[in-house]
Amino acid sequence: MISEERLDASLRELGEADIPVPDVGDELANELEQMHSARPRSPGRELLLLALVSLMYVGTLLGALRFRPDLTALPRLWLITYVAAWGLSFLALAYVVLVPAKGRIIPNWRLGLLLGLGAEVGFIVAGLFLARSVPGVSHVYPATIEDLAAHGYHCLTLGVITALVPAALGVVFLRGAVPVGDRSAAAALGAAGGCLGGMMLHLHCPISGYLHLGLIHGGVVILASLLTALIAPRFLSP
Amino acid sequence: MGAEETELMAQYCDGDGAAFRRLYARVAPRLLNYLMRMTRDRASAEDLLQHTFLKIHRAHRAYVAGADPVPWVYAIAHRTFLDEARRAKRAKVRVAATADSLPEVRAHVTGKPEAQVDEPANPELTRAALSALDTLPPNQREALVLTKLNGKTIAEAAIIAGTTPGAMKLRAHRAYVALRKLLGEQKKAA
Repeated sequence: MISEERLDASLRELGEADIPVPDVGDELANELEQMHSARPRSPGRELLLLALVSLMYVGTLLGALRFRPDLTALPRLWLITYVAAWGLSFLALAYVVLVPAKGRIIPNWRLGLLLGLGAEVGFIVAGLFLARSVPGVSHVYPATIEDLAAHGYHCLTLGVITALVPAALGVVFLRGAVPVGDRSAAAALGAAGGCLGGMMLHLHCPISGYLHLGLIHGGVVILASLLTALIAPRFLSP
Repeated sequence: MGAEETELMAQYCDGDGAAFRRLYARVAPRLLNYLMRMTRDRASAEDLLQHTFLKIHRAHRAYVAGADPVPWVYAIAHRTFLDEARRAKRAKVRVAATADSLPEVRAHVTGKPEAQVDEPANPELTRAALSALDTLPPNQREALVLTKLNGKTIAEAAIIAGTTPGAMKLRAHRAYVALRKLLGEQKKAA
């Protein structure tokens, strides 16, 4: 067997081999001649902007569509905790995907993907086991697939429409920054948007059945994540 | 390594084309070396190098102020190589259908295409290591090229290849063991 020292030395020699490098190609040289200065990314500012624009968007949607009629009658602690969980999940996901570690350009897409999966499972489970309703005010339909589909379509659509703005803005900010893990980063951005969609539905939709809360409101996170993972990678990768 | 590239990248983002050329002069040799070991073909590696820098230029707005651009640049090269490898795999059938019209590739005395053979300027073991490296699976070869040839840490190599440090460590270890075994067998046979 060859000694490790000898092999390491040969490999180093291979790595340091003096290879003549061709000049910059014509296409690139032309583009360089026409280049203008570009401000580098400022992830913190982008996160702040994303959060502000997204919250204003949700506020506008809620203003147009009205709050749920049972809002004031629902257990306050449950309502606030649930809304905070949606909001914090959105912020945490957006932070992980938009703000890379110090000195890096590529964000921690793997952590984003894991957090996104956690949010998807967490909100489905929370909806199934922690649903609350106010008799006579909240809408609770029989727990059947037919009812779920009939009343779920509107919520899924509204949730995805809400998710669209933060996800699209995140894609604009991250354009070209993710050469590896682009699909995972896109899925995490979609999940962030989905959490905002879930928060919006939580404040707007009066349907309080556990299946609706778990599978439809929680399902918005999965749907938004899948859609973004399908569409956005081509924009995230340089 | 890294501070000068960071400075050059900042100047380049400020619109200084000369800084881009200095950055190219610093990074391109290492990147070409990496791409040559991955593609095992100089012409393809040079093409990929140009594609990589074109992508860097078009995406330079994604640069984060103060960040070391080198891992990002390598990751773009890694992705460009993977995309090209996939494209070539898909195109295999089409190439076979038009094979008659392709020019014949000149072969070296070793039987490899000339473009794949480095001039024998290095010692015997280095040459043997180079040919043994070519026989490794692509992901193991990449792990070894990044960590042993290009001097990246396991964490940096993992970021570039889009994998975990644990997986990268395992790939590099397996590649190293396989390479030592191959070289040992070659020595014994000689």
